[in-house]
Amino acid sequence: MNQAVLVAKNLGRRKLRTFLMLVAIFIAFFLYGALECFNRAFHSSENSAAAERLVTVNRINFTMPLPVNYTGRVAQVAGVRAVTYQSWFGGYFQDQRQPLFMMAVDPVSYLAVYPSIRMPPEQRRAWLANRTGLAVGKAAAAKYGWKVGDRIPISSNIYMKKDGGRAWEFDVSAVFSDPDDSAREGLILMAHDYFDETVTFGRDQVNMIVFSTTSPKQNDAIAKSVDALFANSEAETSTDTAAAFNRAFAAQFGNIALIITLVVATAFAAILMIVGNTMVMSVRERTREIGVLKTLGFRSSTILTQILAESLLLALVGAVLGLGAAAGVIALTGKFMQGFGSNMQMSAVVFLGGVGWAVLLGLVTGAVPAWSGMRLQIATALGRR
Amino acid sequence: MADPFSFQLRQVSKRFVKGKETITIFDGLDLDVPAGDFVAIMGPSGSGKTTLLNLLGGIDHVTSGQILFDGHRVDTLTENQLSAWRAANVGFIFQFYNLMPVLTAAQNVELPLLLTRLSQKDRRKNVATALELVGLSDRARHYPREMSGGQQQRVAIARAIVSDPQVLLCDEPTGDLDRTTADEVLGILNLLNREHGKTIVVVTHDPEVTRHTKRTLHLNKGVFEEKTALA
Repeated sequence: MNQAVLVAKNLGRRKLRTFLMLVAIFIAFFLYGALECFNRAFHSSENSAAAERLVTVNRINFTMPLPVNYTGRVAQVAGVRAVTYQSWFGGYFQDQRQPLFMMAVDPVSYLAVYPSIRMPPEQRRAWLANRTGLAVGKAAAAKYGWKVGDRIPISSNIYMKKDGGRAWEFDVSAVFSDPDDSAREGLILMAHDYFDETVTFGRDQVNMIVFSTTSPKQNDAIAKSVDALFANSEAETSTDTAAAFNRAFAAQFGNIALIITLVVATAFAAILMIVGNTMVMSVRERTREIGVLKTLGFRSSTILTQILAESLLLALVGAVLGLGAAAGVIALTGKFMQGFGSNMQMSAVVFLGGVGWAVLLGLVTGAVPAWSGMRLQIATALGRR
Repeated sequence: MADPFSFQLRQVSKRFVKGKETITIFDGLDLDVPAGDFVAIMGPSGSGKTTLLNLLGGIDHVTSGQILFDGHRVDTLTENQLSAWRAANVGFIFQFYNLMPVLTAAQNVELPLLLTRLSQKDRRKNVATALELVGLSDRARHYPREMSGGQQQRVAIARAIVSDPQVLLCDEPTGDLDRTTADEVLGILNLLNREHGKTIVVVTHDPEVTRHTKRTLHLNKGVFEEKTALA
């Protein structure tokens, strides 16, 4: 036997109580793990956006279109290296309630603005050559089970074809990855030419112009220059960094981080009180035993350490189980959440962050009973006064 | 050469403050407990028996006066020093055994040895010896709830002697036992005193205890009334 055995034995003395405390901690850390993964995936594009990439949208809001010929004028601004444009297609595959993250883009300029996109050269050539070709991010391809060569019917919630139909036929020409921004791997890219030729409205218009600059230091000046170009025009523009644009986009859905923080904080506060109170009761029941240990020569600091070790062990076991379950659930459901791409996973940062919170929880819930145990007078504990 | 006295109390006073009232338990108490002594301390409830045992064991502090152990003052030791001193020199036996319910008999006996530098092998050996001495080798893996009161008290004795302390302090060790079992426990204490040289101080209400001890002290209102000579 050693003191670790003593700690484990004390935790196991009331198995139902320990189990219920573990369940409470498990739930708190499951929530923390799952919600934090969601939060990080949701905001991942903010962090992965290249510093030198800017986005120009209609000043009213990004759903309003811009004339496609703005692209050429943006390209003329000093400091602009490459320009592309894109439009939201509003596509869906088979189930109207499951929208695709699908954009109509100019393939050549798109690949110039997003150089981190990787696809085999022959697939790249095929996509550039095929008007009805699709470049599918690998997360989207995995989700729908698409592979190069497949012919896919895709409909749009927004657009109709000139012939009155809603279904576009596409060929999967390429499957791409993006090591710098795995959220992009949830995207499906179609050729803007094909889009323009077939839709009944919205031709020669785009949702946004994206361009890269020669230096991030010039971003502010270039953004002002671009917006100045279109001041007092029919479609005034608003230009910002891609990161700022992504932040604004995410903010549409509310302050996700705040909501998650509130949910997790509420869960933690409840657990703190439940576990803390239970630990106090548990130690109070052992008052006489603590007195005996001190009588045998156990130091007060040893008693303090033992009780803290109990609460730490409890918190860590519950937390690791909760975080592990969250990781498992995220791994199982992540592929169905295409919008978050392969970012929807339990990262080491989230896991270690959870372990850090568990240590804090263990120390806080154990602090009061440990302090009481340490201060306990032997004669009082043994009822000998 | 070892000091002839295990304990020497010199002008010991002990007072408790309870609300606005100050209760005096002892006022200038003197006591000598020679090494190898087996002394029973008897007296009515509230006479100060338990407080005296607390003071001897360093689990309570004197208000004034001195307590010497082997010629060295223990009343001036810090809490940590007292913990180490108790672990090395004193074994406690309580009326209600005070065993850890979550530990087996062997694990309960091993507890004091966790504070030593003994290897696990040596600890096991000492535990086996102590349990054998109290006749409970076959109960090593049993939990307290699986043992009778007498067996639990014998485990408590094994726990008290496993680290080979010089002194055993016993608080009503037979108070919760039937006569036969009580006699068995007293027999073990007698053996520890006679054959192993342990100094034993027993606080008790049980007059039968005095048949086993070398002398008996009667405490009343914090004062020793009479002393019985060494047997």
